[in-house]
Formats: sequence, C-alpha cells, structure tokens
Amino acid sequence: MLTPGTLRFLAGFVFSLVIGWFVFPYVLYERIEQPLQFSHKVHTGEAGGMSCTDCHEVKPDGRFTGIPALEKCATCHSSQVGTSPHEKRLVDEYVAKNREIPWLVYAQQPENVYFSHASHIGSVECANCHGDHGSTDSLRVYERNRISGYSRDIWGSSISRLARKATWDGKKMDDCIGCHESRNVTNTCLKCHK
Amino acid sequence: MNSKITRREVLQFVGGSALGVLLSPLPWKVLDDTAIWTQNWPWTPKPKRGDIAYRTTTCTLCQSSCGMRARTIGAQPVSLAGTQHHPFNQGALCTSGLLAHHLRYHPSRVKQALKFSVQAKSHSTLSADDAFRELSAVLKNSSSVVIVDERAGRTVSALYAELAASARTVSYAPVSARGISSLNRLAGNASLQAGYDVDNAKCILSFGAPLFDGWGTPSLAARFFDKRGTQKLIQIEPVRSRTAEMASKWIVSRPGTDLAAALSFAHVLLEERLVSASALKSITDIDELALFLGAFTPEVVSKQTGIPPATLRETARAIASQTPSVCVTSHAAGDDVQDAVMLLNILTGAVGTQGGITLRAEIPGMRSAAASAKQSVQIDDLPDHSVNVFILDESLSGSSIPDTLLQDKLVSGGQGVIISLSPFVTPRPFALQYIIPSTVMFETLGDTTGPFDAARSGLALSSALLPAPDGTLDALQFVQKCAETLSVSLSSTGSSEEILKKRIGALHASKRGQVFMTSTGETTDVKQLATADDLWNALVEGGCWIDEAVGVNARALSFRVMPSIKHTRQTQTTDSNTLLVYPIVESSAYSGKTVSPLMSKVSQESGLRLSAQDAYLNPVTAAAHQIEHGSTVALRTKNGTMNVRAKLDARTMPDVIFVSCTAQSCGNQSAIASSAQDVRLLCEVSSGGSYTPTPVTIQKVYL
Amino acid sequence: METTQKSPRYGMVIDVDRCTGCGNCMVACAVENNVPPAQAKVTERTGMTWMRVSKLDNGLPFPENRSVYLPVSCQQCDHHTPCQSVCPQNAVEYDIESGIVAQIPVRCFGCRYCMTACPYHARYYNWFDPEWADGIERTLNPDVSARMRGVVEKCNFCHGRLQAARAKAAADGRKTESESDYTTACAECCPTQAIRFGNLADPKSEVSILSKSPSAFRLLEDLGTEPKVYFRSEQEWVHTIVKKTSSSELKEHSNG
Repeated sequence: MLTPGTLRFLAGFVFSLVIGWFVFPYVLYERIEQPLQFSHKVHTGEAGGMSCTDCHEVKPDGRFTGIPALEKCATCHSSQVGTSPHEKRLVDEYVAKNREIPWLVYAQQPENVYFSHASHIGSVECANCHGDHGSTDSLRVYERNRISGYSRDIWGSSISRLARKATWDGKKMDDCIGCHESRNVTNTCLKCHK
Repeated sequence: MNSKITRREVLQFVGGSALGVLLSPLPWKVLDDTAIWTQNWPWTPKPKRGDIAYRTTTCTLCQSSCGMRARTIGAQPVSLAGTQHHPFNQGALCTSGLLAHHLRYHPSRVKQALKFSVQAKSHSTLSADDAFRELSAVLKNSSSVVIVDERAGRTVSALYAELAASARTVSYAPVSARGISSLNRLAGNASLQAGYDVDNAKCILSFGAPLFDGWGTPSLAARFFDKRGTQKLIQIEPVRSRTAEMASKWIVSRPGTDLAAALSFAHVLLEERLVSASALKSITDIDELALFLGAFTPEVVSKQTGIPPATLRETARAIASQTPSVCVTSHAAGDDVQDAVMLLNILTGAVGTQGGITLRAEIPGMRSAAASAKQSVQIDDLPDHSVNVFILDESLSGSSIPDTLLQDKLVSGGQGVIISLSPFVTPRPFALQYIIPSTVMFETLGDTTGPFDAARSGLALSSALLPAPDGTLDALQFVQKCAETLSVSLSSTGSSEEILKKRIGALHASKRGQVFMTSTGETTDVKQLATADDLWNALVEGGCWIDEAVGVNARALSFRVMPSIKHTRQTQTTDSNTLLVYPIVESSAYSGKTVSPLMSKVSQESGLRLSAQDAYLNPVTAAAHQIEHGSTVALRTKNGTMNVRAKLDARTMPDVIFVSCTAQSCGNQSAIASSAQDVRLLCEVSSGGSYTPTPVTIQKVYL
Repeated sequence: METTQKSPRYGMVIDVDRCTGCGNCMVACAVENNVPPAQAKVTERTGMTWMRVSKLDNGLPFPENRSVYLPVSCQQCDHHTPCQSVCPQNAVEYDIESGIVAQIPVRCFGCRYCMTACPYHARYYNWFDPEWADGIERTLNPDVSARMRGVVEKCNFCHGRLQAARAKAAADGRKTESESDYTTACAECCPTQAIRFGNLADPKSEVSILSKSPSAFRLLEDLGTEPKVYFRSEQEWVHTIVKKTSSSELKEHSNG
C-alpha cells in the first residue's frame, strides 16, 4: 500500500510539521528572566495593602505610568522591609545605586503604535489585555522574538494564533481592530499609530 | 542492505517536508516577524520616553532675553516655545531660539581645550589645567590684553571690568547694543545706557535695519502690525526685504549710501529749521556741523543715493513732524553710519524722549557702570597692531566682531593670541588661538539683560536644566580662572549661583522695578516680595525684572558731534553700469555663527533664507550675464574670488549682487571645515567699518 | 464631503499679510515631528519640509516687484483627496473623526504616486535614512515615531498633539478633545500669529469665521479638492496671482 517513496514523503512531511509546530516556536523565542522577581500578590495583598493605582496611574494630562520609576519603589524599599532575597537585590543593586530596573515589558508595542490607557480605562477591564497579571505571585519568563525583537505576548501563546485562549492572549493589530469593531469604535490609522 | 541514499529518496523527503512546512506556522510567522523587523532599523532612533514636564527659562542667545518654555522628558528639553505674556518677547521666539536645545549636541561642540596653530591648519587638544598653565605664561608676557565683552551688563561683565581695572596690562572692551556706542561717542560719556522705545514711536526711519527679521525681539513685527495705522515705518534699502515690503513706505536707495542719506536728512532738518531750540542748544559744535552739512544738499545726495530730492526732503520733514520718531540702523552698519543716524536722533529730539531713545538708569546690584567705563576701551579706537592678546567671551552667542578687525588690532607677524571661551570650534586663521570649552544654553545659570528695543532695562536668569559636560566653564567660572592666572583678586568669587544671588539680593534691596512671574503670569512690584529668595525664585523660574521708568534727564546731555561726523567721507558715486557686490543683513536674530543642524530647513532645504553659499541677483542682471537660477557663479573682486549659487530675485536692485551678512554653520559639514567661506570678505570696508559696495566680475562656473 | 455635526474638521487660516517669512513654522514643525536635518548632499528638491514657506510675487520687475510668503503644508483636502485616491497600499487615509489626511509611513512602500498626485507638492520622500548628530536624538519628541529611508511623509496637523489632547480629555472624563488643548506647532510658534488653527466645523470658531471672510482664499481652488488650509490677504494682487496660478507654477514660485 504505502510505497517506500510515499513513506519517505510522509516522513519528510511529519518531520517538518514537528519542526514547524513544536521546534520552531521553541527556537524562535529567547527566554529571558526578569532582572528581579516581583509579586503583585504580596503588594496588593494584606502584607502590602496597596491598590493598583498606587503604582500605575493616569496623570492629569492623560499619560499613563505603566511601570513605575525606581523612585516609587524606593518610597517603601529605601532599606529592606522583608526577607526576600529579591528585595535585598532591589535595595542593594538598584535603590542604593539609584539605577532604574531594566524591566522587560510584556505588552510593549512597536514604536509606531500609539496607545492611550486613559481612553481605555473605564470601558475596558485591565484583565481584558493583561490577564491575571495583577494578581500573580511571580513574574513569568519573558519571551523575546529573535526576529522581530518583541515580546511573545504580542503574538499570543498559540503559534498559529488559531487557539487564542482569551482576549488578553495576543495584542497584535488584528486584536485591537477586532475589539474596536466589536465595540463600534472607529479603526482609522491615526487612532493607534503615531 | 544498500545504505546508499539516492537522489530520488532525498527529493521525496524534501517534497514531504516542503508540504509539511507550508502547513506549519513556520513560513508565515517568519514572514510576519521579518516584516515587523524591517520597521525598526537600528539606526532609526527611538525617541526616549519618560515623564513630560514644562520648565520656563530665559533664552540667552541674544540680548532680547526671550522667555521660553521647554517641554522636557526627564530633564532633557525636547521642544521650546515662547513664554506667554512675557514682557520681553510676548510669547514669540526666533528660529534660532526655537532650536536652542540642539546646541548642546552640536557637531562642532568643543569638549576639550583646543590650541590652534597660527594658520589654523592644525590643532591640538589639551587639558583645562595645561591650557591655563600655558595661558598664564602668555598673559604674563603680554603688555596689552583686551577682554571683549559683547553682552555688557551681565554680572560677569562687572567682573571682567574689575579684572581689567586691577591688572595693569588688561583693558576691558564692552560692545554696546546697536547704535548705543554712537550715543556714548557723541555725548562723550561712555557710561550711557539706552534703549529704543520703538513701541511708542510714531514714526520709525530705518536704514536697512531688518526690523521684522530679528533686529529686536521676535515679537516686534506683531507689535507693529497690531498698531497698524498709528505707527509709520519708513524703510530705506536697496532690496524690497521682508521689512521693506511691510513698511508704510519703502525708499529705494543705492547700496552703501545710508551715510549720505542720513547726512542729507540732517542738512534738511537744519536748513528748514525743523530742529528744536533745546536740541540745537545741546550740540556744542552746531555751527561747525551746519557748515559741514552744507555740502549734503538733497540735490547732491540724490545723485549718490538714487533717492529723489523731494523724497529726501519729505522724509526729513516726516521724522521732524511725526514725533516721537526714532531712526535706526542695521548692525552691519559701521560706526560712521551709526554716528550719522544718531545725529538725526539728537536733532529730532529723540534722545531721552519716550518713543525715541530712552536713557536707562543703571541696574542696581552692579558695580557702577561709570566706574568700569573709565577703564573701558572701544576696539575701534585701539591703535592697529597694538594688542597682544584678545580674550573673547563667546559663551552665549559667539562673536559678531569681524575677524578682520581683530586681525588689524593684533600685533602683526602672527604673534597675536586669541583666547576664546566658546562652546564651538571657531578657527581664526591669523592668530594662535586657544579655545576654552564653555557651557551652552540650558547647562548653566546665568544672567542676561533685557532687549534693546524696549524703553526700560531688564534682567533675567537662565537656569541649568541639564548638567554641564565635564571640562566646560561658564563665563563666571572663566573670569575667576583668568583672575587666578593673573593673580588678581575679584570682589565676587565662588560658584555662579553664589555670585548671581549676591546681585539679585542687591536688586531686591533696592526695591526698584517690577518682576514678571511665570507661575502666575502676572507682574508685581519688587517691593511686594518679602525676601530676596522670592525674587531669585521668580527669576530662576523664567520670570524677568523690569526697571521703573527712571530715565536720565536728557537735557543734561550735551553733544560734540563733529569729531565723529567729520571723518565721514562723501560716498563715492560709482558708475551706474558697474556690477557691485554688497552684503545684506537677512535674519539677524542670533549673531552666533553656529546654529542647530535643523536650520537646514530654512536655507539648504527650502531656499527661504540666503546661506553663506548663496547670492541674490536681479533676473535682469542675471539674464545680461547668461546666469540661471541655481547656477554656480564665481565672484571676483580685488579681495579675491569666491563661488556662490545664484538666486534670482526680482526684489533686489539690478546690477548689485547681494550676499549674506549673517552666514551660519548648521554643522552638516565636518566641524573643523565648517568655517564656511565668509562672502562678506569680498567687499571692501570703509574706514568707519561699513561694508562698501565693491566692483565685482561674475562668471558662470561649470562644475 | 459630508461631515457629521459632531466630529470636528480641523483646519488653518494663514494671514499672508502678517507672515514675515521668518521660517519659525518650518523649524517648529521639524522639531515636533522628528523630521531630520539635511545631510550635506540634500538640496531644495530633496529636502524634507512638512511645512515650507514659499515666496509668491507679482512677477513685475524691480522696484515694482511685490511679494508675500505662503507657508504651504499639506492642504488636508476634503474632497477627492488626490493622494488618498491613488495610494495602492492604503497608506493614506482620510480620518473622519478629525478631517485630517493621515499618512502612515510604516505602511508606505515608497512608490511616490501620491507625490505626483498632490497638486500642492506638500509630500516628501525620505531619500536618505534620518541622521541626527550624536546626542540630538535625545531631543526627539516621544509622541511621534521616526521614519526611515524610502517612505513618504507629510504634515498631519501635529497628530501627536491631537492624541495627547484626546488622552487628556479621557483623563478628565470627557468624550472629545477640548479645542484649547490642541494646536499645531507651526501655529503655536508663529511670532506674528499669522497661522490660526482650529475647528472649521464649529461655526463660532475663529478659523471658521476667518475662512468665510471675503479676503480668504485657498490654493488651486478650481481643482475642487476643498483644502482645509485657507489663506487670507487684503492685497488685491495676491488674489489675482493666486487665481491665475496653476499647479506647476506654484512649484516654480516656491523656488523663488
């Protein structure tokens, strides 16, 4: 039935499918640890007692501070307040040396993209794009696309983008457009490009 | 078993792989990622993000001292605009000022002390300490050192004067604002301070002054337009310039005849008895003057200037009857023209009058200007080849003193030395030159006096938004270093902030004048401020101080005019068929030779402005010489040959080639080589320092 | 062009009698929009000036020659929008929410068809990669992304400022931007206030009133592209010359 030729053909077929579906995504992304560990859970839980807006705030001019500056961390962590080794590193390597923490931003969009948090807050939940990030206990590994240089979060976890887990899984232009369409918001270029 | 793999077998595997790969995300994802990758070349800069804030400060590029608001990312200014309602500039900035935040990063910025050989063909770098060690030897062995201060009135000016007073070999040469030095010369009083009250003038007579193109503060044009109908501007110029086009009246005159025109106006004023008794009385040598002016009848002068005699008479009558009137010159005008025009102001009674030239009281907190004036000298008055060392303070806006003047005054044989405090490379190929790197705007705290086109004097501070680069000095640090080198002790020492605070403290103690505060946008009396720190903070935040209207009584002034006026020669009448070259003043807002690279927008990229490589030609003249717009032509005069690009412009007088008087370098050539050709050098300079129309031959160059 | 009552239509009215040709608008525009300085080989033809001040004269010889300056940027055509209708790549779009003709350089592949189509010569092609002297890139505006060689760009009424005004409105809980928060860099930095910017759809706005005055005119009005940039002059000859000028002559005049 199956000639050796067909078998060889199928072998090649299966081989490249395996490469394309499983090996390629693994190779494509470079896994990088965040410079420090950070627990949203601890900060917003009983121990920290902080609210989201303590660090992520919309300024009166409508600009949004995504990742707070070191200054903000230093207000509490000028010296060590807990026992975590990560906190010790924060104090010793960053606060003491007044060096900004080189966080890797999961949702970082390309330079030509304009996004205003101010105009989305209120109508869109944070979790809609950022998932459960605000309640995690640790920062996951950052996956950097070796070709484009952007975070894997932009493309989403599914390599084919066919199995999008949720609205927050993927932040490509199509995702923005889809959401805008579903909410009857215009999709003109300059709405989101600069 | 045969283990040899055949070509066919490989192809079967590859075929399967090819199909498999197409059904996998690999090619599609790689395509997408590659497309995204191509959006970001490493050499395409990514603007830095950060907190956006607004800081108000004062522009120090010229005397206008415009209030400016900087939009900053972190501490870095990313764009500039005028401070709304600022009393000096009413929210307007000039083109150079809008780009001042680029100067810090200019390609020709000096980062280390430089020593240029006499021919400026080679230079070496040295540390600041080594430089001052060498300078110490130079200064100690020099019998004549002249400190040139082109922005007199600053705190550092008083220290320069003090240094000169304490060191036997050093003199202080302040360069007064446009035309004011003429007033001092004619009044025989070097300490007079004055301003042009153009806002209150009913009639302004301008001898080619680019009033709407940077002569005064950038808001001058708007101020004039808003008064349209009530104010008259008469522009005398061989080009229908921007100012001429918008003036109430444009009088066409042949280039280089301003002096003759001014003297003929003076002639008419005396002849038709249009001069008030008090003005006549104030001129001690009026009889001698009347005799001298007898030759300058409108009929005679008309032949030189090309202005009809009737127009000359009408204009003289206009400045006499439509008072207050004020007569102004461009800053390319030499002393002879400036003196003659100041004479007109004296005759019309403009000096010391509101709407004319208002005399200003000295700003409190400074060493008496009269005291420092005793030691001060005018560069022009120095004997030729008598100066060993020139110390130039080019830290704010470079030097506008022609190199030829410096060269004439320096000892001959290449023995002269120039010590320049400058942020930029400024080669001067006729002297041994040391360049001490200085700070630029936004890097240092400094004071600056108010605009000269305002009735009252003013003071403002510029603040240091960014740290000064290592090894750079501001003027206050530089003067202290020089004092140290000459073993002179100064009355004020310490950090720039300490020295300036002392001055502001004294200003506060005087309880004089008003202060504009950017925090409220309002002006308050200094009296109302409780402490000197309140005044200091208001100024550091980009506010400004304005004096009360306390003028010196003009009636107390008397003038002896003939010693200056009699030197003026009759302008030669050139054969009207001779082709001439003459420099014109285009935008003159900032006299500095170094401007932001983005200035290419208004010259190189659009042709809006004349660049150092351009010349204006009337189309008729161009056609007569078979020259097209944009072609390169060689201009040859007695002084040499230079290549320029012809720009045909029907606004310019035929048979005259106009070159730029304000050549600037925006730095897209290599820094050292950017000493772009100075086309002005083609022209002869009169004994009074004015450019003279010079016969030229023109030839098309085929490149 | 039908516009809904609600959405603004931004436009400019430029008083040429007040324009001194100083060039402030040109450099303020370049600073705001991260337009690079010229390299040594750049000329008037290859220069990049979203806003270009051109001289317009009456064609008479000296001394009767009269001239005015026309600051010409993208005229933001409302009707037919020539550049948009020819773009094969959808890189040009008419923004219905602001009336701004948007150019998306990242989408552009540089065919320059739009430059040919534009009657106002208001579009510019990046002949070179942008080059800023070392350090000057620190003064770039973070609200505008830098472009690269091989794409076309043009004035978009300082769209970064519109986005900022919208963000501010959102922070204040307003649906639309306040007009006092949004003006272009050229209008802001004009020392004689010759350039006025505002909402043409609002009959009470200054620009709307000025644009309807008899002294107002538009460039190449007979093409019917309905530009949203108006000029005004009280000088008779300016109107006469502008009416006579064809598109190719406009280019000629712009070269002095």
